[in-house]
Amino acid sequence: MKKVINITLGSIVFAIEQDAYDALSSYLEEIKNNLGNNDDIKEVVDDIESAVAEKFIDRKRSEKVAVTTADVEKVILEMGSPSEFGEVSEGESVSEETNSKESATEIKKRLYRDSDNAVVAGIASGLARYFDIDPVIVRLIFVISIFFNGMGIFVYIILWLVVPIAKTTADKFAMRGESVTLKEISDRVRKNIEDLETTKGLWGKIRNVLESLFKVLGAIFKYLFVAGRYIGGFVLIIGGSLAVAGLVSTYSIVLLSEKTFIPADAQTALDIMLSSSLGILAIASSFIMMLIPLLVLVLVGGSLLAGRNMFTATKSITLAVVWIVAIVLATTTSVLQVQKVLPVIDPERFENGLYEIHVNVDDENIEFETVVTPPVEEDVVSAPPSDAPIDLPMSN
Amino acid sequence: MSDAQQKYNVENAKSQMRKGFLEFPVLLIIGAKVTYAPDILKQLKEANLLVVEGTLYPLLSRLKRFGLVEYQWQESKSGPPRKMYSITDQGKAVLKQLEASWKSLDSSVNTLIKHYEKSN
Repeated sequence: MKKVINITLGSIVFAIEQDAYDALSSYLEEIKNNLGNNDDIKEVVDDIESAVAEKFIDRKRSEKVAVTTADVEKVILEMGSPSEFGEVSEGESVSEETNSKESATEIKKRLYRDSDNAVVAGIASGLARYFDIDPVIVRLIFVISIFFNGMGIFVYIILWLVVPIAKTTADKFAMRGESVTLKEISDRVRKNIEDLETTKGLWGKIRNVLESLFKVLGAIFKYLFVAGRYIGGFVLIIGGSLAVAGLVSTYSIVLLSEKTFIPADAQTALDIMLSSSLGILAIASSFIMMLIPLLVLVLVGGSLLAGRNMFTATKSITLAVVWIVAIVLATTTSVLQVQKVLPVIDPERFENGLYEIHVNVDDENIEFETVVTPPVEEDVVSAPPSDAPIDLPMSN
Repeated sequence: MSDAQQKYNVENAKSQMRKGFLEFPVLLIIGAKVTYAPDILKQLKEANLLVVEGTLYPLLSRLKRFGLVEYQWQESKSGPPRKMYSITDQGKAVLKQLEASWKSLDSSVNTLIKHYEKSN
């Protein structure tokens, strides 16, 4: 006497013996795993189920005459091992022995919530699986940490929101860090069916309610995260672009305009700088020095919006190298320029040797100093646009 | 160990050859006549091109995804409804190219085989 289950394959109803059902479902499950990245996975599986149905009909199986293990074995023999179902390029192993023995490579362990051994949501047992420790220890840590400002609850809820539950048999194997073979899956499927009949009850229901509640919360969380990403990316791109535009127009106004509103001293300094190639280099390199961080901001914004990292290795290295070169150039050339410009503008102070670090800047002279020395100009930029003149010792 | 390793590679190479090559005969079969999966399988088996059936289903779905074949459902007296596959214009164009490529491949591989057999 054997227990018989009713199933549909390709919309035809069959009676199937328990053993045969286990074998067939684990076979189909492993095929699904092998199809992996195929886009039309559902359609292919439907096709395969229809094909299996036709084979059962050929063998005169129906609702009345149950499918046996022998039938399933024969069908599996004709259909081929699950590894045959993979895509062409995958280089899968061929025979079933090699599949279960030789290619049993270490698969990557992943963090899942372990619903089979869950007390609340399976976080503790999932973590325990991941780190290969006893779940009791993890649960104790969580419980103890509740007494410290409730940190544990907070962490638990966050993990509940972000860690996926181990749904399929393959997930569960990945959670344990084991590779999947036909026999292991069939053992597992059988065990799951037995478990299903025992884990009902009130606590199970409460857990289901909580589970769906958290699913909704998780979706909201994800949505907020995505929205934040887009807003951040947008702000960075707009802000960065505006800053680039501001930088460019500042430079062009200073360099190209009629200069009526630039103080005479500044005009002199500018003329001296523009007359030598070193001075032009100082202006250009200080421009690049400030431009690159702004470009990085725009790129970060773009990465956030596009949802992928726009900093390729070559791009990052190029930017970094150009930036460093620009900084070095700007510093050295402007120090040289200061030596050249200051004697003309302020001979007295030059002789006192006071030009090196600080230059006396009052309100009208800010723009002038910007042009002369980028180190000073940084001082000016970082200082609040104050009305108070920057007083320096010895200046008065 | 080294023996087993070598055997594994040969099996793998044979399987890859069959899988990569199979699209062409399947397109030929569908191109000749509107047909459904078990019929295709029967013809492939008669032509000794197929060892196991599992390979065919992902292949058909791939051909369909790239628009080389299409299918229509047809009721069946004895079993589940059947997907009747037919070739598309795009499929015909691809088939023409594959045919030309096969003919040149066939002659060059045959030349190599003859060369190899003579040298032994």
